[in-house]
Amino acid sequence: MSDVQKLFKERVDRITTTIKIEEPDRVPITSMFETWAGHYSGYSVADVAFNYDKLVDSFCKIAEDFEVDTLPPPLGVRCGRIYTALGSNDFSFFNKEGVSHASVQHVECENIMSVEEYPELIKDPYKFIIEKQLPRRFKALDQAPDKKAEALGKAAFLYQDYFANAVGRLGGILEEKYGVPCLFKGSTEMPMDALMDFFRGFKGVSLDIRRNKDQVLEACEALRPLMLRRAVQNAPTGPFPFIFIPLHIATYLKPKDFETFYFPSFKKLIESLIDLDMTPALFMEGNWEPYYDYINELPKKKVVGLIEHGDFKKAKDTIGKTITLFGGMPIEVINNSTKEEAVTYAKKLIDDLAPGGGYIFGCDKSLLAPNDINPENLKAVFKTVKEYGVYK
Amino acid sequence: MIVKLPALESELFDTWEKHIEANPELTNSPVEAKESFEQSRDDFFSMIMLISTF
Repeated sequence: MSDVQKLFKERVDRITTTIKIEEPDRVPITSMFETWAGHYSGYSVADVAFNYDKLVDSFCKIAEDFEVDTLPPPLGVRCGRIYTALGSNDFSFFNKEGVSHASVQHVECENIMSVEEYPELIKDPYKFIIEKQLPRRFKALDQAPDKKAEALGKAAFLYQDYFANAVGRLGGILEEKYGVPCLFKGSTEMPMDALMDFFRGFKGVSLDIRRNKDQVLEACEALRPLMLRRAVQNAPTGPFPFIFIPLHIATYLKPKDFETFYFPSFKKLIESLIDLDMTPALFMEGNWEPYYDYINELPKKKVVGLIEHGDFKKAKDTIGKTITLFGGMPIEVINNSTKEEAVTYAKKLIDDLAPGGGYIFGCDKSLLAPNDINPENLKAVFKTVKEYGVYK
Repeated sequence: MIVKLPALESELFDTWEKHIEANPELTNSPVEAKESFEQSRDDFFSMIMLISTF
């Protein structure tokens, strides 16, 4: 076994031990590096969204300079070629003058589906997506059947090319050259988040839970098999890499509405993934403290949660025996403190969150825009965690 | 082991059985033909889900 292969195995072992909520050799380190990876290498968002060599180069530089234990695949950068070929109405990478955005921009998919269309979505959501949702979001799919077929053919070609020459190639290089395993092997959304994000919008769903309660519940149940299939199809079984699941609307719901509308399909989807020997990694956007009792209803030691807000010590004490905690290092502290202050904060996090295992060190937010993180302070913090986060 | 799920219940989610019904000359195809058909169907599904719900 080569040194790189040994390093790869050490990292995989470190993470798989951690998520069993047992103590590995030391606290694993990573963060949600997205378009910031490109900025760090001097590339614009448009560069890394369209040029796969630059995309691969920028993520390799993160692996080399930050020596993280694992890296997310570059899906957060999104494939500019597909969105552009299809004429996306809601995602953009550059402005009308061709100047790249600082991060990928998107507008909310409000009223993509009218309230009257719930029965159609519930009856056959996959058909609804192909026939109604996609043409309303992509101009190239809102044409006569022959033109639509041509656009779908182009998209299919670009999709295969993207996964082979961007995502797959990068994963291979990270493993073989740097010994860095991929953090996620798939992703999905919770049914109610998908309903909000891609069909009804925030305002629509907020009204629907008052006026169309049964249809919201039925739509979540109808979307659940698609969202499960999206997560696991063609993925190898095994607890690591994880399945990435960003959670969006949950913390905007009152706990009672959360219990009624969000939790049933949320819990079922998580249980289905665990039954398939997968580890759901929840990106818990917002403050989840009011919902910790529900988190404790999930299967123990089978789920990872990236916590964005709240008291992390309280999270460790309350849900730390159920899920592995990920994150905790505020990007504001890294950016607005001296190196020494940031390091001191990181040590306190290790003191609070590392005992007993079940903690992956990382920033509390995804890294997108050029000024999202001070790289020198981040390197100092990671170096400290590698030394201070050793289990003895 | 790669996860394989049962067919999705949808008018537009193709299955080998529906495909044979439309193309009876393929009834005695080797198993590789069926697997290849299902793989391309699953790849197409993945692309549709990527552009519609990601």
